[in-house]
Amino acid sequence: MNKDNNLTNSEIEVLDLEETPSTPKKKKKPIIKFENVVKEYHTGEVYTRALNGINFTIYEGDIVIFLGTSGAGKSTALNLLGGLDQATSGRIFVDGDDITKYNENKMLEYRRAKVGYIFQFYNLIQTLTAKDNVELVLELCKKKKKSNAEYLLEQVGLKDRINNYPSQLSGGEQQRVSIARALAKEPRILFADEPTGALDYNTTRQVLELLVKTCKEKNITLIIVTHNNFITPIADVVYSFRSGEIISKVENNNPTPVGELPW
Amino acid sequence: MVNKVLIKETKNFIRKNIKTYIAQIIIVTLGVGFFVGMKISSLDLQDTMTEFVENNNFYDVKVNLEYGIEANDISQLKTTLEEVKYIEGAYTQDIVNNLDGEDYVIRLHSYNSKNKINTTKLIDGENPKNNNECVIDKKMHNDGYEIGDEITIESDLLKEKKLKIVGVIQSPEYLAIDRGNSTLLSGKINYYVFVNEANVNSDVYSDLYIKYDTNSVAFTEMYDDYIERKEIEATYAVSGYFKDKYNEIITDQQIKITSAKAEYEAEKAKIDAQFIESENEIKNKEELLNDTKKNILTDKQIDQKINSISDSTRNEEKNKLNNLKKQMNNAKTAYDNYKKNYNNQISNTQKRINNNEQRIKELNTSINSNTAKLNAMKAQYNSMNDYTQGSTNKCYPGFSLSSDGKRCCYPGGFYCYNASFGYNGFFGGGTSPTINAEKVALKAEIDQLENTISNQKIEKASLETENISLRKQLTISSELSSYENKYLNAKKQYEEQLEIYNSMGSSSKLSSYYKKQNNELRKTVSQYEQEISAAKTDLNNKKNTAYQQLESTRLEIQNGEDMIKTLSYPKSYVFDRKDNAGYGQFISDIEKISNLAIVVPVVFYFITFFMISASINRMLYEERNQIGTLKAIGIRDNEILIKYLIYSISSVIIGSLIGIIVGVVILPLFVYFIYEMLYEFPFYNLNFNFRYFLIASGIALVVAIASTLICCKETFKEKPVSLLKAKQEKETVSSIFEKIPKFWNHLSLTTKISLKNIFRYKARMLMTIIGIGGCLALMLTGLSLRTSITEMIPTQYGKIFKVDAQIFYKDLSSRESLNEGTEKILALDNVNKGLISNYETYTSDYNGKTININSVTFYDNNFSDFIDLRDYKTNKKLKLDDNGVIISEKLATMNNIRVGGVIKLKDKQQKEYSLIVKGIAKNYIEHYVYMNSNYYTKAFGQEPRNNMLLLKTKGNYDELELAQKINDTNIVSQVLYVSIAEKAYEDVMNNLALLVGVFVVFSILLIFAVLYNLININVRERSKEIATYKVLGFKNSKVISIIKRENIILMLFGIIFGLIAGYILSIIVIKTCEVENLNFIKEVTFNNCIISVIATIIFTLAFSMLINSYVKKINLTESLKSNE
Repeated sequence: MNKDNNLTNSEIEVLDLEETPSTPKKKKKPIIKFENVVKEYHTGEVYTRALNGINFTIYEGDIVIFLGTSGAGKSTALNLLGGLDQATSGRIFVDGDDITKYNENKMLEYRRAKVGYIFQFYNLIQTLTAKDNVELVLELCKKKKKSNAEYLLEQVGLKDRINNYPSQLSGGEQQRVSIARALAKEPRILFADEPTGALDYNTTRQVLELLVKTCKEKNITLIIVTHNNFITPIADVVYSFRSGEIISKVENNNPTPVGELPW
Repeated sequence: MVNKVLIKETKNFIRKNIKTYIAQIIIVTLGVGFFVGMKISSLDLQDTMTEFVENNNFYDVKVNLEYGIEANDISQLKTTLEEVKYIEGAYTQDIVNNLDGEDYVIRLHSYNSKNKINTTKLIDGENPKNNNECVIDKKMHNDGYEIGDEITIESDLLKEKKLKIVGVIQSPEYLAIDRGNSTLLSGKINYYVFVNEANVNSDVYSDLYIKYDTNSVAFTEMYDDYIERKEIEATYAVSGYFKDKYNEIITDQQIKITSAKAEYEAEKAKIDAQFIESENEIKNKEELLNDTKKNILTDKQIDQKINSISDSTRNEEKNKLNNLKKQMNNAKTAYDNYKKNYNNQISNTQKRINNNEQRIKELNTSINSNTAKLNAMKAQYNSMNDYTQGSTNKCYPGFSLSSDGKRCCYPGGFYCYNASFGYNGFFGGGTSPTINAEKVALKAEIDQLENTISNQKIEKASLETENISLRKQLTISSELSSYENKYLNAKKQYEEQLEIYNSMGSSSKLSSYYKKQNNELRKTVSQYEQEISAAKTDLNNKKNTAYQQLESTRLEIQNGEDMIKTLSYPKSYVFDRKDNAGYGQFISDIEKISNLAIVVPVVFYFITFFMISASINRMLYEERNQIGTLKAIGIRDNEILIKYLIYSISSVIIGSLIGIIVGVVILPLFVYFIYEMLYEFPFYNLNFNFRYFLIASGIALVVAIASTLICCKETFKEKPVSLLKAKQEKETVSSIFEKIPKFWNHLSLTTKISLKNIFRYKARMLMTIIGIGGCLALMLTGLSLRTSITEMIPTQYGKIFKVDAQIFYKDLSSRESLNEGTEKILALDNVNKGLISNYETYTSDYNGKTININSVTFYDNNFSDFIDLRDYKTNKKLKLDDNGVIISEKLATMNNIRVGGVIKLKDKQQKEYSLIVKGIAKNYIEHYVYMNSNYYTKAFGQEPRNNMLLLKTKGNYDELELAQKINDTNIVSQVLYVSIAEKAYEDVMNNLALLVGVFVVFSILLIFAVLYNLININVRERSKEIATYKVLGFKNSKVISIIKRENIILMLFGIIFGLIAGYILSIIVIKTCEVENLNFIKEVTFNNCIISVIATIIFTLAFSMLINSYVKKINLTESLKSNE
């Protein structure tokens, strides 16, 4: 580790090559595939290339971390994956379908059915209670009425706070509502853009524990975008971004449980 | 697929933006309310008056006749008209009456409970039944006259002048509080009063009312067309009827005059005949006189005569003399003989008379004694019994004879019978009576004596008769006197002739004879002369006396003839409802309200669209993050959008519903309230008109939905990711100002920031400018309309019409009397100048309607002191020429006529004339056509008659007095003061101005709502900016000034935009609000611009105070929280 507590390039490489015989590789199905994806922005005369032709594959059930500093392109990649934005060129395959070919309606369906989102600033509807915020999403998926809002909120430990408004909840509580909301859909993939960026260590731990546990239980693919490499051990795969490109890929055969990180 | 939770969220959303929401509702309320309200107001007013007018059978046609109409005429006239439901006559009279020390003009009407037309509505009390009762109008009642009060009406038309007020009524002839015009006093009627028809002292009705059997309803076009036809029919019928009637009268009169003349001539002839005898006598005498005069011989003649006497002449004379002597002697002899005989006769006759008289005497004595004897004998005879021994009557056994021996009675008198039946028989009979022989003998004597007396009387009578004729013989002496006269005449002739013959003996004798003769003749001459002169004098006196009796007859005939000469057909004037001042004015007013209703809402809706867009944009901006999130979660655009639609639509619906209350109840009642100053409404009809409500709210709804969707479309196009971030600002573009270094460098930093900000946020800039500008435009429009309306009258009557009075001449045949009278008028004290001219009225068709056109013809171009005609564009003075007419502005613009074009006019007989237009003059009220007499003659084929005198007055004068003096010249039929017409229009305009005031109020309310919204939006949009300033340490006042500076700059731009938009809008609105016969001044005055600008500035600055409170109260942490 260098003085920034970041893995040095060589260390990354070392980790990459390490194979532990005790943990045999499971046969994993690829769920996401990026092929030469490019994303460009125009703001007036300024022209930014946020993603410069990136390629990667993500497997179902994995916990993936996109790591990088501000402006590296990780959020952009996440946005493209989540259907919040459209790639300039390249292809993105999710569950075998090329979502770059999707029109607005299909994209909407994609967002509705396949994907769940967790934001850094929670993005709850301020004028609805915690319960309502979750029910909002439940209304979308009428077929799957297995769980109800209360149960979901209970699951995230907010049984007593279901009738509170976001302004009456702490940051952590809000994020948990956000998670409950995202999970209510029972998505295939869960995206989390700096989910703990606005939280303290303890809350971060709780939220991460919840996320990981739930995703592992339900076999949801979890992709976390962060600039904090402290939490990278919990992931199965860590992609590092810099200046719109993936500069490294680190696979953890034995990801560390959240509680065992040196908090 | 509506998300229930989102719907729930909508409620919270509205609550969060409640201020904007309410402002929105208010704007919609105003728009819908005003539009619906104005439309419905005019309908309500119209409905109320229609009901009143129809319930009370307001007349369809009114005929006013110069000399009135009799009941007989009315029933005859009815037969010449078609479809008449009712036709009635009534009495009307304007009088000046003194009530409690002040003079009022009262119009009297007659009340007849049987009348069907123009029935009055009883408000209080009861209708007059007796001649000493009357009912008064509301106005009089409001001024303090109560039921039970006594008033004296000084009208010569009434039998009973002291009247008791028994009720208060409202008449459909007076819809307006302005009771109309009169020729008395100030020209205005103060009150109207109804009296019992029986109290009116006249057999001639002053007005005739007709009601037709038609289904068309008042105030509709169908009705107007129907009445137009009927008016023409009535005009012809009435004038035809009276023409015939008066022709009859004139013919009768002429026949009378002719026969009177004949009589006069006959009388005169008789009189003359009477005197002819005398005249002839005088003539004869004069002839005799002349002859006698001729016979007087002059000395010369005498000498001639003397000398001319010859022997033969002498012998002739001698012979004559001898003959005459013979005659004389014969006559004497005859006379003497006759006389002798006569005397003998006389004495014989006398003897016989005497003998007779003697005998008569004897007879008389004998008769008398015999008569006495006879009487005695008769008396004796009567006293004697017929029988010496009367019969002895015997009665039946048991009966006894009465004392007079004539009856037999049963004792006790039970039964009696006449004894003359006698009873001869069984018990022995009675005996027959023995006739009295003495009596019989006496009778014979009596008879004999009577005979004797009778014979004596006969003898006496014959003797008396004989004596009468004998006596007659004594007196006859005429024959004797004629013999005597014959003798005397003969004697006279002889003596005369003797004288002549003797005088022939000597010339001196002859001369003296002739002279003597002359003297005799002279005496005779003078006698004759005296007789003749006396006779002449006598004759003249008699003649004069006789003629004098004829003189008065002659005068009567003269007067009769004069009367016929000056008699003209009574003028009849046919009016319809529109000519009733109150009714006509009312129609005009509701038209104006209706017009206003159309134009104004368009502006409101534009502003509504605008405001909704601004609000929605603001909200979309604030909720970008949320929208992005929802999109990310997978919620459809439509579902997210519904919230905003609900917001807009619900605000429109609520606004519309409240708008109904404003539109159906509040505004109409308010309009009623305004119009209560002008009209008397018997009740208030409030109608709900579904159609207008649907139109108004429908449009509002469309506007709301459209603006919402347009705004949302922009936002929802973006990708969720960009929504999740703050809106990307366009990069700063250097504004125009920056490119002028000289200007730019002098500005302070805050000003620079302000200017940069303004141009950066173009949308916000535009919205503020349009919002403020729009409101200013509205205000300016309202003010312009108001000014246009109120300035019209003074301009028309001050600058264009410089005339003070309009005088109409009677229909005179004599040019001299017209000129004479006119000179008298012009010589009056307060009269400055006069201009004789011609005035006619024509009609013209415009879009199927009939419009009235006044035509004035002058005889030269010196009329500008009276009427100032100026070109409507260049304002140059216009002159009349022989080749065309000058028409008023509105007439030209309505019919698209330019100089060189043609205007078509119709006269009362519907004949059409085409006139060439040579000039178009500025004019604001009614339509006019001006021409000179030459062109008139060309166009109409006859010379224009002088029927109008335009007058300019000077100094101070009493209008009534001056009118009286003008009327006294007897050549004038009407004096119209221009000031009165002006005042009438003024009242109408003032009322319209009030209505425009309503519009201005609405504009101001709208301005408030708009400004509030704008400032709210502007400030909230910049909450982060403001918070940042405060956090950085700027004072509140500094922050406020930065914001306000921007607002002030925007306001200035807004004012410029508003003035331009307002100018255009004013012209459009003025054009739309115009009524057909008025030409509103289309000018936007400097004053009004200043007022609107100042008002806008004040309002904007006032509302900017909101900024102060916002800046002070802003929650810094909340505002600074954001995604970036």
